[in-house]
Amino acid sequence: MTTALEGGSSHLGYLEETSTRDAQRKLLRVAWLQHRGGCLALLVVFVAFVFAIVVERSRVDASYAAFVAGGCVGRQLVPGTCNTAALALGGQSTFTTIGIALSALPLLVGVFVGAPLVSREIESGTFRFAWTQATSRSRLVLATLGALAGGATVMAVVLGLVFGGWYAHVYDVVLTPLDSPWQATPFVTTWWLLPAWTVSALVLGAFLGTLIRRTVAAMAATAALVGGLIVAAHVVLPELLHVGASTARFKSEVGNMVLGTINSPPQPGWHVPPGSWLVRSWMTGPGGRVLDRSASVHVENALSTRTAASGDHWLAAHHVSFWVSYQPPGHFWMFQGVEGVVVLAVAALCVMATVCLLKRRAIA
Amino acid sequence: MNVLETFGLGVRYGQTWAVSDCTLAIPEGRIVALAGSNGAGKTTLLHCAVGLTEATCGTVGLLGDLPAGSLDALERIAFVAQDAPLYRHLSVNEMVEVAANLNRRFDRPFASARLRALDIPVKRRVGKLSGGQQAQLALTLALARHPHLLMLDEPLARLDPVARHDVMALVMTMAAEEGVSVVFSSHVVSELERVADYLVLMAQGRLQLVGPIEDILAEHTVLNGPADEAERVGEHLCVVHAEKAARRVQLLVRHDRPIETPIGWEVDAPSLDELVLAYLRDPSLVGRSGPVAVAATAAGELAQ
Repeated sequence: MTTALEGGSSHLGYLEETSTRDAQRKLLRVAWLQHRGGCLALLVVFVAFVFAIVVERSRVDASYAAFVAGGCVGRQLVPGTCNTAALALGGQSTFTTIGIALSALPLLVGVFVGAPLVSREIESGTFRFAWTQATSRSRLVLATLGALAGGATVMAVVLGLVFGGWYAHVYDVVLTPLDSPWQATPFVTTWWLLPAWTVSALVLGAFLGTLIRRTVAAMAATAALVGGLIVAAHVVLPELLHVGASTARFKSEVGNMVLGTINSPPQPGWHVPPGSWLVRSWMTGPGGRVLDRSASVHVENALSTRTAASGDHWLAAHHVSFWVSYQPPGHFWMFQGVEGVVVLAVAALCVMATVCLLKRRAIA
Repeated sequence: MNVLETFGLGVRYGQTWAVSDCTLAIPEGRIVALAGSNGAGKTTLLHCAVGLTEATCGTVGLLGDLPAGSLDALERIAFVAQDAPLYRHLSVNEMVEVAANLNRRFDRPFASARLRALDIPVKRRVGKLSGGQQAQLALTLALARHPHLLMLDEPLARLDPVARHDVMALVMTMAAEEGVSVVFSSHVVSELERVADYLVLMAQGRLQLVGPIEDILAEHTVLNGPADEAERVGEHLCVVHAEKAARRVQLLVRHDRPIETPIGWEVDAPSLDELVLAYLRDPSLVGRSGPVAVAATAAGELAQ
């Protein structure tokens, strides 16, 4: 809005008087002008991901037609035509590659967008211009951070949906444990966790940039810290999955199962709900006593030479039970929610720390 | 109202005090020459005033009692930093847009007219402009805010002589027409002498001289006389600087009241350049502390 100043200031000509409502829009415009290069680079990455996923999904759709034509739907997959078709349908290798690349998206955003956000301003000296205008430096940085976080969120949500949709398509249709949403890569690339990690990496990078004040050093620190956190989350998740796990008693399927930590999807026909995630298994003997390793191996050996029916009979006769703890599919979004909230809480702390640093720390 | 006030201001970087024990009060409507040699603390003092540097001790107030770096203060001051740091990847037009969007009050027509007058291509990237054009652009963005206080850190360093003259003329015009107070920082006193009416001289982070240039000059006299009488004459005067040449000596003396000319000596008025150079040669000298008179301290230090 442009208005003429009244009274004594009229000789100043026309000054722009900005309302509070306009101020936000103007800050977004500044953010765009300052960071459009980075935004466009992110857009290219986004389009490349979408293109790769869409192309691969088309290939999967074609394979699915062959799968259906071969009469494989609903049949248990054993080595042969249907199994080969199912594997082709799964597009396992491409899925894994794209998934891993996608899980690195937060790292890219944190390193190349977040870390230079403030550090480049300090290093190039432009902070002496930007932070001496009539807009507080924390407000300016927050507006920029908010705009970038908004864009990154939209991008990550879309990628998570497109990628997750592909995954769901394969998993639901083929009904085989080709992959599971509980596995590390699909788990962190959902429409919820991917944007949570991306935004968190962005603000963590911005915080480190404000703290370190050197662009390259901040980028390196962000890469190390965000990368470390992602790896740590991968390592910690299986441990957390013990929390709230359900238990099921198995019969002779024990012959196909690993004792101890499992961390894998169930096979068709096992007595857990489809979409569950097996966490741990153990055996109990008479009186409910947990069998030690050697006793368990003895049971496994005994079952390996028996059919399913005789195996069940043998287990009953020796009062041996086989137990599995698992996370039912209903718990999936609970764990997603918990991890997402923790990651976003870290992001919120980083934002607060960045604002504190900007307000309190002498820059020049 | 004082446009800039400091009390006991100190800024320390590690073990080094960039500014120490700095107490001054600059009245409004002045064009202030903030002078001093390289590393004297001029930039640190300005950065403190605009909130880019935090004071280790003491206080800084602007335009009455506004805290340095506060939004209220930033809305009424404009600062052009040394080397005019601007976004090099933006076009001139976009740079103007950034400045306009970061300020509640910004005079776009003024900025456009001035850029047109300076023949600065508005579609060219800032990074492609010459150093002088970048400095002019930075100054234009500051002036378009029509500040109450304009602070310029070495604004003329990158300008050619014609541009220097034009910038000075423009700043003088703004000061006269709009009553803008201006603080120029420079280590080249001769370029400030023509426009400034107030001097703040710093050396090694401390204030040496603060006050209206006219008063400062009136408090100093140059005495020319025989070299062998220098010691006798100097005994009763505050000698700021002595310069011997052959059998003659030139004494720059500071005095609170008119001095009696010794027999056989000639009296002359010092130029600002001479006076500043004399003080800069001895950073331990403290001559005048501005509105808050500490003549006794100054005299004591001069006597040393």
